[in-house]
Amino acid sequence: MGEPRKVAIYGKGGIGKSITSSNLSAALSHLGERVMQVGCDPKRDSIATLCGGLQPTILSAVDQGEVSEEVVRGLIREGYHGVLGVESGGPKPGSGCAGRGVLTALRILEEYDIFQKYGVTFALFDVLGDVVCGGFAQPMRAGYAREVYIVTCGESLTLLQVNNIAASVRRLHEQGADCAVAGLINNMRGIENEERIVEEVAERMGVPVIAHIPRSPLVQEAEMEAKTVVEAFPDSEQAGVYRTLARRVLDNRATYVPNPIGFEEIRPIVSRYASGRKHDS
Amino acid sequence: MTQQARQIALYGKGGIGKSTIASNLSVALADLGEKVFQIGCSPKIDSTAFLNGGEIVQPDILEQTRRKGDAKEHLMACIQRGYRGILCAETGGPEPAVGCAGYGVKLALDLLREHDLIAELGATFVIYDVIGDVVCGGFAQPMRSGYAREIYLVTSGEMLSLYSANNICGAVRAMSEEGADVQVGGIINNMRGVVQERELVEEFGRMVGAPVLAYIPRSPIVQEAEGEGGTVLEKRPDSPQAEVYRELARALLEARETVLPTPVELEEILALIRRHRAQ
Repeated sequence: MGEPRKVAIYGKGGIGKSITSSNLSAALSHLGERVMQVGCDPKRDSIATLCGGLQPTILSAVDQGEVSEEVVRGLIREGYHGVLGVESGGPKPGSGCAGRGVLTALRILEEYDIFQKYGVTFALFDVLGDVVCGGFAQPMRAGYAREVYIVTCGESLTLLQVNNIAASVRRLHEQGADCAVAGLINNMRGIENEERIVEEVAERMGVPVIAHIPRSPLVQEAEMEAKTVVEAFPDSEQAGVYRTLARRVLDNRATYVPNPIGFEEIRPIVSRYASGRKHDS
Repeated sequence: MTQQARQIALYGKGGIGKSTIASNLSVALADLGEKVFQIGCSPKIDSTAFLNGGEIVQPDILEQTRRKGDAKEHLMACIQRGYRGILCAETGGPEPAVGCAGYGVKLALDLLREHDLIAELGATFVIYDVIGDVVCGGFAQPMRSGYAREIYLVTSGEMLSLYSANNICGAVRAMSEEGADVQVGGIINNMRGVVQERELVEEFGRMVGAPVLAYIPRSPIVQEAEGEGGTVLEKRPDSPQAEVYRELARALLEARETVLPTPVELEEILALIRRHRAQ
């Protein structure tokens, strides 16, 4: 067994990373991949819709004392359609560094050869990207971000965060880290001209938009049942959108070192299309 | 200076509206006779822009010290007098992917203290506007060092916002147990239009043991004023929204009791939201 393919999903908190990741994992499993989704956010709600609710985390096990292979195996859940899930957890609020905590959890998975032992072919890391200080860059520095997809929408503050993540990737790449961006995923909020806004920002940064995901009430409906759309509404258009995303991610092997732009460049793009809306109506 | 300035910190999730509240509060406090100093403690450096005609207050302290050094005159150049003479400064932050943002903020605050600038400028009321997305040890630094003994949590009824507020409660509690002189003064509900948002945040307050000090309704007047580069108090002083901020300022001046909060588990917050959504 070779190394699994490793893809990291980054984005601002609340943007829909975990929902996108979980639906992507579910869709990838139907394409024959053995997927493990690793939640890398102290909130530990990444795998909830795949594995039926909040789960105990690797770092909480670390806190409680001895960590062994058996303990780690006990934290890995097999969820929908054989998708595996585990949560890194985070440090206690007010102490420690969240990014380093996440990296510790990832190192523990490697130490026990978890990916090989479970036959994982596709590892998906769902990473919080609100604050890109040195801490949150730790997993990037350690080779967990060879293929980064950044989840965004057309809002300016979200795009600013995308830009910060892009700046981190570029800087770490220049320092010799093996990290690059594979593309943006536009998880749309329903803003006018949102596809064009995100396309234009992506073009300036020199990265492709891999998918535009429309807003759908089915996402919430499925979430209330602690399920992904792919599981709860397999015949819906929205499930089709996630299956298309999965095929594109599987086929896309190109990565890019992005060119971060300034907020001064992002704001006019967003407001230009927003003011276009006024003329249209 | 005979009297020490009162120092409070507003903590809350990024994008929740901390800076808007801080700026309007600063103006309202200035109108009540306080000499206010607002210090933005986020790498985004946009806390004080609406006290400064919509322009970002520059240079920020960390950038200035990187470029010119940390002599007093260089620090003084970072402090601007904005609307109503309110003192404004931004700590700045490290470049993305380098260093710890929280330690950067602390470094900037240490410099202000070292040169005794708060007393020298005659400030009577200092507001620290602090990002609270991730309460790792870094962002807790300003709490740990006794800059602000009173923490006010800005939140809405949204899950991520309550989650951050709860984390901040956890940080305050942990730090207080380690001997830091820090407590929570109350919660400011910056409403987003969530169903039953007043009740929801009120109940969250009871769960963590902190009072809700004010409800700030969502108002298009905020965007209008900020679109013109100013606070609601400057641009729309006769609006009902301006009165909301004045009430908050009065409530803050009267509120001197603080509490040690008790954080709850994420499951309890999720259950709280589900209960209110179902009603």
